[in-house]
Amino acid sequence: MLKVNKIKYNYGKSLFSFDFKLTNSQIIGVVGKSGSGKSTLFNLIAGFLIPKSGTIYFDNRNITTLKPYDRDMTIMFQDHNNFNHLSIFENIILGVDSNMNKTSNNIKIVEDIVKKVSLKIDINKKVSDLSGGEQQRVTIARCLLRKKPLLLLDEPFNTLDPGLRKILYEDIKKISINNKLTTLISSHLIDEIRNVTDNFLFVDKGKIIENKILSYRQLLKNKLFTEYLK
Amino acid sequence: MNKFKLDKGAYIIRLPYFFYLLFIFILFSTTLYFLVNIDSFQNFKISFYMKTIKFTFIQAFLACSISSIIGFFFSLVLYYSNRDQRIISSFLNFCFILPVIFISFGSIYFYSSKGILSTLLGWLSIEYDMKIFSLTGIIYVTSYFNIAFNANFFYRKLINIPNNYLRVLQSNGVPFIKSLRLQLKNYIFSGYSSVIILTLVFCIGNFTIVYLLSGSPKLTTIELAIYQSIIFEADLKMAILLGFTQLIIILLISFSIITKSKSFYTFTSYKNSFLNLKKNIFLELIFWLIIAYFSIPFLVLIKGLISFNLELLISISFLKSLLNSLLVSFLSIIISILFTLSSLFVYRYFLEQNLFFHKLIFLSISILLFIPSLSLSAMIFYLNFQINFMIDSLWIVSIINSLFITPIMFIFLSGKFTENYKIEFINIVLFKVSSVNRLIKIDLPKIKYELILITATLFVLSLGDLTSVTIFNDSSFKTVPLYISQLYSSYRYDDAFFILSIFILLIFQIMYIPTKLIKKNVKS
Repeated sequence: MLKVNKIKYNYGKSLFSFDFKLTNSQIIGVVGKSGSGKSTLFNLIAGFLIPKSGTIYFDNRNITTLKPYDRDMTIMFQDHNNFNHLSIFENIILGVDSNMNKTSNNIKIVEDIVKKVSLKIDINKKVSDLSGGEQQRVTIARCLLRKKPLLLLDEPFNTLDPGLRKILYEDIKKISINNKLTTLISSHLIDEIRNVTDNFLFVDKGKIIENKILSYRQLLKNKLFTEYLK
Repeated sequence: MNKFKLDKGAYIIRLPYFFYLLFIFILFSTTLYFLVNIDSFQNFKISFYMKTIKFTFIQAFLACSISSIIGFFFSLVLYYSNRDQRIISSFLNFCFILPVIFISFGSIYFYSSKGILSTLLGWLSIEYDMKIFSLTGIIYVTSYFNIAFNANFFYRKLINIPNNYLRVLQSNGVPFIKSLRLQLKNYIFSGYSSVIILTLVFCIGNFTIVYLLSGSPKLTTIELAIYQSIIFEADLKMAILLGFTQLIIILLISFSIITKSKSFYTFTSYKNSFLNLKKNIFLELIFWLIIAYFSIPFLVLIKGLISFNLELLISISFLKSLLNSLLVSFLSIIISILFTLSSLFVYRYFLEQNLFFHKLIFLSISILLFIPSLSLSAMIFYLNFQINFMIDSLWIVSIINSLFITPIMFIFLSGKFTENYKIEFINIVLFKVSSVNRLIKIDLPKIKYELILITATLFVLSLGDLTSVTIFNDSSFKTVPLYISQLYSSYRYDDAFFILSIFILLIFQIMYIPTKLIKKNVKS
């Protein structure tokens, strides 16, 4: 269970405060306007930012001040997830072997995971030679390889075209269900996330509305949300 | 893209560039003709020739290696110090463009046998025997500039690492230092081959440093030998031969970057560093040691200002040299701006027309960066000799300076000048904007901040130059750096330090003007 317990964070002059909890193996859409605090929330959960006060628990373990790599999570961003000058193999194996050693075992691991994310491509190719969708699949492969129960996707496919986004969201849904992951996906494209889940956290001005997960129907009853949809 | 017919204005704008090409052609062909027709060298000594080349390379390789290793180490510490990136980068830039004579005398004042360090160690009864007028001194001062240059290159690379790269590494548990060796190596070191070649070229062309710090005839570089051949031996043949030797060596070394246009120029976007590190006393100490290292030459300012001498300050000889310095810099900048704008215009035209020639234009200008000032001086000296010394020293020094600063200005402005050139070109054709109007009303406003910045920087570089003026000077023409060096040679150390301090304060003021101008414009 992920429990974000009354955490406060100063973002410029505004004070962001988050308080909610999630049960395991859920897919949650985190929606809200640009600048509402979605990425800040992700960075707090991931450990790139440390809250001013409050605590974050994951599976009953206090992770508030832990380093990002000590947390049971993996994260994916909109861009710069991969090192363009490195190969597919290096970018993926980095998740489990930071020395990126090209051992037969590592090669097998990467070849297996690449199949799982439907990438049919030479793993020695440089990431810069791949299309946008393929690059994001490489990131997904690395995330999967880390076998962490919490997956944070911060506007992961916003730069891709709609058709590709749909396919990748479906892949994410399958992967999350098959691997029993708790997945948080932030985006401002709510219609696309609705194809993946009906559980939402709506962020507005650095706060989670009603401090709990709401379905799309429930959200529609909220005035702030209907304004956001306009 | 359709071919676009040029208007009359375009031909006028192109004129300075063609004039520049013509000048370079005449200069090289005259020198080549001279070299081909040399029947004998009366004073030619092969052993001296070889020794000079050998020493040039030894000192250059040593200084280049030291600069790149220490520069990288410094950049890491500066990055980790998590301080204002704009200030640190400007500081390193500033150290790089400081007049060579200032750093040389600043180092002499601190490290010489009667300097501050020797005095301090004397109090502690520690023996001190570093000789500043030696290979050590030459390498120390040469490295000072190149460490700043290298450190700035790596520092800019480090602060431009995308934040998500760092986040990905951190979330995967890869320590930053380790990632520099593995994941970020290619990113950090891309373009480094160009930087190292440039550093080597700078180290080979360190005439002023060798001129001021070479304590014995053994420590003679090719450039110093050119100077000696012209001034002391009146051996123009030897000077030209040495000049050509250096030219060929440098062109061979720098061939790879000359053909790879723009590869050594990186744009910097300042941002809040993602690495929010806790303050570490050890790193803090090293940070301040680095600042101290770069600040050591500035101690000479205190000595200089204490030795205040009003009589010297208002003396005709000083005022004349100051006026000459300002005139030379002003003329160099004007010539350089003319050449640069004209060549940028031609360069962009070929880009717009999708013609391969744009690479040749880039090459024809950037090649000048690799032609040592003293080699150029020797060639121009010969050309002037052929036309019975018709050209005045002031003009010659200004032209040589402008030839050196034009490629820097061209490379610095080319990115901004050609920004969005395809879309711009469509609009220019669509709205029938004349070439002159385009240059004055569209291009100049676009590059104005960059132009102000680079003009001030190059003005300072030109002010502090002590290369060609050592050859082209007479009783009526000398610049401030030469005036200071002559004061020092005649054992008037206090006066030399005093004038140097006044000169540096003037340079601080000049460097401050663009910042003020830009700030004022941004506010309005």
